[in-house]
Amino acid sequence: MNSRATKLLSVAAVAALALTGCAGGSKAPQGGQDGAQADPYAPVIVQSGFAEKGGNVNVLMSADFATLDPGNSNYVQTANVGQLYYRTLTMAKETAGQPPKIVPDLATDTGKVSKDGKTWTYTLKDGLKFEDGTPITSKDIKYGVERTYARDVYTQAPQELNSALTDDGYKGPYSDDDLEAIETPDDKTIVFHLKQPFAEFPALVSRSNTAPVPEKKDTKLDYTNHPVSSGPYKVKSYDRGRELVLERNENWDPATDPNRSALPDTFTFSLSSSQATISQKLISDADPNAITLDSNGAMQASDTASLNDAKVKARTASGFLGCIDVIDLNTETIKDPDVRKAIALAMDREAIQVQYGGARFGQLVTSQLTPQMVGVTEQKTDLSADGKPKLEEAKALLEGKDVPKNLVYGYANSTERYKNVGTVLQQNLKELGIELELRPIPAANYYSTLAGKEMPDIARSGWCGGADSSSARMTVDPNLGPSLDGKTYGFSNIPRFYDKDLSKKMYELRGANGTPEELGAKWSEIYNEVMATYPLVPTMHSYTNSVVGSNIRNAQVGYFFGAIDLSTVGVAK
Amino acid sequence: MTATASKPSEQAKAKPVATGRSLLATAWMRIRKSPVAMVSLAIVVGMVLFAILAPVLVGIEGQDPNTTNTSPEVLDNFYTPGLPLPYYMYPSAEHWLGVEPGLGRDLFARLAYGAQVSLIIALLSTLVSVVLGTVLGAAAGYFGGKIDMVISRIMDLFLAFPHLLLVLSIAPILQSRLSGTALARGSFVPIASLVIVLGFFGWAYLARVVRGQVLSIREQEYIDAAKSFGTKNWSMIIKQVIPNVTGVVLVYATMMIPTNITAEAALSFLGVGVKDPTPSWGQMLNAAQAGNWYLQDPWFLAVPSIALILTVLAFNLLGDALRDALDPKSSR
Amino acid sequence: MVSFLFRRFGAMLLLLLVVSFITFTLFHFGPADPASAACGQECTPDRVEQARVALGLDKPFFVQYFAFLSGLVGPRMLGAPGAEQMCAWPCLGKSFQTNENVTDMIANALPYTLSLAIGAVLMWTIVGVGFGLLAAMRKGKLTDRFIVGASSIGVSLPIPVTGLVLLLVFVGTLGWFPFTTNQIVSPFGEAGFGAWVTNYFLAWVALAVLFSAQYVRITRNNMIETFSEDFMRTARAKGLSRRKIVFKHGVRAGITPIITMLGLDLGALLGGAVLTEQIFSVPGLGFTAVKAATSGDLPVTMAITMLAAFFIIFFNVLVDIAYAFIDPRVKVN
Repeated sequence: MNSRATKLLSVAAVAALALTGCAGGSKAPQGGQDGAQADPYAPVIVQSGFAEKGGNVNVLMSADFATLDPGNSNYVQTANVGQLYYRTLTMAKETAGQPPKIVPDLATDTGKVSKDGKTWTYTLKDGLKFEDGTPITSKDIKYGVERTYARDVYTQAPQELNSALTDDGYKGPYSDDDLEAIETPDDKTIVFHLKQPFAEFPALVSRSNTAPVPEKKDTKLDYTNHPVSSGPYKVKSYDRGRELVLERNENWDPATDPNRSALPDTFTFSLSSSQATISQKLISDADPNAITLDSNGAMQASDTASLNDAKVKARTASGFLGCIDVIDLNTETIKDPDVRKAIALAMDREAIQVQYGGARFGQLVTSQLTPQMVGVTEQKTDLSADGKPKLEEAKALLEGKDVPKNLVYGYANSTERYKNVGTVLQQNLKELGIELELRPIPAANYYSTLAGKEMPDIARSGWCGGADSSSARMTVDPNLGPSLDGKTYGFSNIPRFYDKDLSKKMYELRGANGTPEELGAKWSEIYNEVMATYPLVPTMHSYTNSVVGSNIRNAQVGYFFGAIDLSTVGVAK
Repeated sequence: MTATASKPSEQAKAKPVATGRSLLATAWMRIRKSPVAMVSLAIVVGMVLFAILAPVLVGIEGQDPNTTNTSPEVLDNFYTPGLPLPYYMYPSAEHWLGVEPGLGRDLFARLAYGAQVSLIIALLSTLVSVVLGTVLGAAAGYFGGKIDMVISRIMDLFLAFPHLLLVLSIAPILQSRLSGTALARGSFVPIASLVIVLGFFGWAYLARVVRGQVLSIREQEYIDAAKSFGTKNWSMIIKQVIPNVTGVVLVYATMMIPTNITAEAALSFLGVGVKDPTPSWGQMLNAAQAGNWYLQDPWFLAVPSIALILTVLAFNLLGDALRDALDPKSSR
Repeated sequence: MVSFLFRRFGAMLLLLLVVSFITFTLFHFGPADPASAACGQECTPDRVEQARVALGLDKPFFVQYFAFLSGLVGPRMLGAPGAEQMCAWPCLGKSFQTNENVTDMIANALPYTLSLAIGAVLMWTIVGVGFGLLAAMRKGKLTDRFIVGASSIGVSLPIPVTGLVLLLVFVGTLGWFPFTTNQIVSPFGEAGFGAWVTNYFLAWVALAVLFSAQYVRITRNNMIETFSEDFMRTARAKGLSRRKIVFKHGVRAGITPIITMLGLDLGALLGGAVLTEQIFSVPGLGFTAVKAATSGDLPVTMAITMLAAFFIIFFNVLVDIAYAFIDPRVKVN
C-alpha cells in the first residue's frame, strides 16, 4: 500500500471542509443548569427513529457537485450523494460520532481472502438491477474499475484501490484491452489480485471505483450528467450549476439493501445559493424541508449566536468528523527542531480556535491521533492542552539560535478564517521577533502548491481519515511518512518530514503483519517520536453543526462526510 | 456596477472652457462663494489630513491597526443570543470606534490607516490616468493623421473592454508577478498593482476629451504663431497646448478620484484588491460582509461605509463646483 | 445606409478579434497554472502533466489560440487523445474545473443577468428620466434643488454599501424580501411574475440608486439646454401649451443623449453586473466570471470577457444607428 493512494478521499474531504469561513462562538452548551456535565462533543441526531416514506428533501448547496461520475470522483460530497444512485461491493456506513463501518453492499459479505492474503473474492447478491432493469453483473463492476485507470480522461479518478492491484501498467478500457488483475469467472463472482497482502482491502472496495457502470452506457466525461443508477434513486433532471433532481429507482430492490432507508420520494438539490443565504434559510426555517451538504453546515461566522437558540438547537444535527486541522512547518526551510518547537509553543491555539468559530466548531487537540482510532497509545507533547501560548519557554528555546527573521504563511484564498489564522500567527511570531508574511494561494491550487516547490514556511492543512478514520496508520503514514521507495518524504507529507531512522521505521511498518490494535500501537509510538521534532502543530478536531428544516427527520452528521448523511435522512409531511 | 468602476460617469458631459491661470483664479473666487463647495473642500482636506495624521491619531488613542484581541472572554459576548452586543463593540474611550468582531482589532486604527491606503490608491491611479490621458490625448489631437488614428483606435479598444472583469482578472496576475520579490513584504504589492491597473484602464475617456479640446485649440492663431517661430512639437505641446487644457483635466481629475476610490473599494470588496492585514476601506467592507457579520453587527459595516460615502460625495460635489466655476455657461 | 452598417459591423468584428487576442494572451500568461487547478487537490506532478495534455495546454500558444478561434467558426474536438469529444458550434471550450461546456454555462447564466439588467434598466430609466424632467421643469425651485441634491448623494453611493444595507434592512431586519434564489430565472416561469419581481427587486434597487442619479443629472442638463434652444422658443411663441412643448418637442430632441447612455450602460450591464450579482448571489455572468477568475478557469473567463466586450461594442453600434433614426438633425452620410 503506498502512501499516496491512501490519501485520495481524505484530502478531498478536507477540501470540501475548507469551503466555509467560520469564526464564531466559543460558548459550548452550558450544562450547568441541569447539573449534568454532558459531553459537549457528543453527536446529536435530529429526530431519529423515523420510518415514513414519501416527501421531498431540498438540499441547498453553494456549488454544483464537481462530478456525479463515480469513476471520476475523489470528492466527499459526491460520495455522500453517491449513496443514493450507486452501490459498491462494500460500503462505508456512517454512524454519527464514530468512524464509518465497512459493511457488505452489492456483495454478500465483506470479502473472502486467500491464504496468502493476495486474492480477494466477492459474490454478488441476487436481484440486483440497474435503473433500466438490466441485471448488474460482475463485469459491470470490473468495467467500472477499468474506467478509473483511464487517468488521462478522468483526472479525479480514485486510485487507492488500483494501486493495490497487480496490474500497474494498465491504461484503461479506451486504449487498453483487459484488466488482468480482476477476474470475473461468472456473472456473480469477482476476484481481485493484489501485489501484497492488505488487511484493509474491504475498505478499498467500498470506494466508488467498484460502482457498476454498464459499458454500453458509458458516455465518458458526459457520464456525470446521467450516471446509470444502481441505487435507490436515479437522476430525473440535472441542470448543471442550478438544479439536480433525484427520483426513486423502481428497479432497486430494498430487500438487497439493508443500508439505505431511502425514505423521501425525491431529492432536489439547489446548486448555487450563497452560503450566507443557505445558513439564513436554515436558521430561520424558511424551508422546513431543507438541509445542506456544505461543509460546516454552511454556518457563517456570525451565525454562532443563533446556534445557541433553543429552537435552532433542536434542529441542529452535530458530530465530530474525522478531520484534524494542523499548522504545518516546512522542515526544509525551518530546519532546527528547536526553532520549530519554539514556534509551536508560541502559537495561541485558543485564538485560532476562536477563528474557527470557537469550541462549538471543534475541539482543541495536541495530536492528530484521536481516541476513535484503534490501538492508539498515550500521546506526549509540550503543547498546552488549553491552547494558550507558552511564550517564556519558546523564547528560552531560541536563545543563541539562528532564528529566521521573515517567514511566509500560505492560505487558501477562498476562506476567511484561514486568513484570520494567519493574522493570529503573525501576532504570535512577532513576540519571537519573526515577521510573518501572509500569502494567499488560489483555493483550487492550494494542495498542489503545498506539494510543490512554492510551499511556504508555514501553512494550514487538514487531514481527514475518510473511510479509514479508525486507523492510526492512515493518518500517520500519509502525513509524515516516506515516499513509496522510502528514500524521501511522501507526496502528501506537507511538512516534508524526513528522518533517516524514523522514516525507515515507518517504511518497514507498512508491510508488517499484526492485529489492528498492535499495529495501531506501533504507529502511534512512531508518531510520538516524530512529533518531538514538531514538523506540524495539531490544532482542531473538527466538529460540524448542521441546521436542518423542521420537517427533516433522522438527520445525522457523518464522520466521513462532514455533512448530513443522505442515506438515512427522511422528511415528515 | 461596471459603470462606476470603469466608465467615466456622465459628469463627463461637462463642457469646460479651457484657459489659463486667470480663469483658475476666477474659478476659485466662485468656489469660495459656494457654501456646498466649501464644505466639500473642507471634508476633502479633512480626510486627507486624517489619513496623513493616522499614526498620530492612533497613537493618541493608544491602539494599533494590527493587534488582535481574540481572547474568548472578549469575543464570547458576540455569541450569546438575546443579549445586546457588548459595550466595547461600540465607541468607548479605549476603542474610539469599537473593535472588529472575530479578530478584535481596533476599528478606529484600521479606519485611519485604511484612509491612507484608499486615498493613496485613488490619488496615484488618478495621476497615472491623467498623465497618460493628457499626453496621449494631446498628442493625438495635435499631430493628427496617423498618430491620431493609432491613438484613437487604442482609445476605442480600451473603452470597449469590460473594465471591471479585466481588472478583476489582471489584479491577481499582477500581484503574483510582483510577489516573491523583496517588494512582497508589507502592503506595497496590492497597492502598486491596484494603482497600475486602475490608472492604466482609466485614461482613455480623458484622452478622448483632451483630444477634442486640442483639436479646437490647434486651429487658434497663437499656436500658428509659435509654430512659425520654430518651436519644437513636444515643447509646443507641453508649453502651449497642455496649459490650455488644464481646466478640463482638473475637472476630470477631481471626478476621477471618487471613481477610483469606489473602484478600490469594489475590488477589495471582491477580494482581489487590498487584502487583510493591510486595511483599506474596501477591505473593511469585505471583512464586514465576510461571514455575514454585517447582519449581526451593522456598526461594523457602517464605519467604513460612512467614511467612503462622505469622501466620495465630497469629491463629487467639489468636482461639480469646479466644473461650474470653470464653465461660465453652465450657471445652475 | 447599407455601407454604413457594413463598415460599423466590420469594425466591430475586427475589434472583437483584437479583444479576444489580448484577453487570451493575458490569461494565458496568468499566474494560476490551469492544469494543476484542474487536477484538483490530489495532484502529483505526473497527473498535472496528464491534465495538461487533456486540456490541450501542452501545445504552443498560437496553436491554442487558433484552436480557440476555430470553435467560433465551427465545431471542434476537445479532450484527451482517445477520449475526444465533439464540441458543437459555437464552441467556447470546456471549463477546466467542471468540464462543462462553456457555451452551456453562459446560456445558463445569461437569463439571470438579463433578469437583473432588464428590471434595473426599466427602474432607473423611469425614475431617473422622470425626476430629471421634473427638475428641469422646476429649474431653480425647491423641487429641483432637492432632486439635484439627492442625485449627488446617489452617485456617491458605492454598490457594495447600497447592496449590503438593502440586504441588512429589508432581508435581515424587516424580512420583507426573501434571500435571492437561483430557482427563479424568468418572469414567465412556474413561480410567476410576482415572485420574479420580489426575487430581483433589491438587486434592481441597488443598481438603480446609482444609475438613476446619473440619469437625473443628464436628463435635467439636457432638457434645460433643449428648452433654451431656438425651436423651443419658437414653439412657445406659437403659443403651444407648456405640457405639449415639453413632451412633444423638448423630450424628443433631448432624448438622444439619454438613449446613447442607455445603450452603453445596457451593453456594459449585460456583460455581468459583477458586484450586484456577487452581493445578491445572482448566478449570472458576473458571478460566474468572478468564480472563474479566482480559480484560473481560463475558458470561462475568456468567454465571458469576450461576450461582455461584444455587448459593449454591439450596443455602441446600435446606438449609432438609433441616433440616425431618432434625431432628425443627424444624417447618415
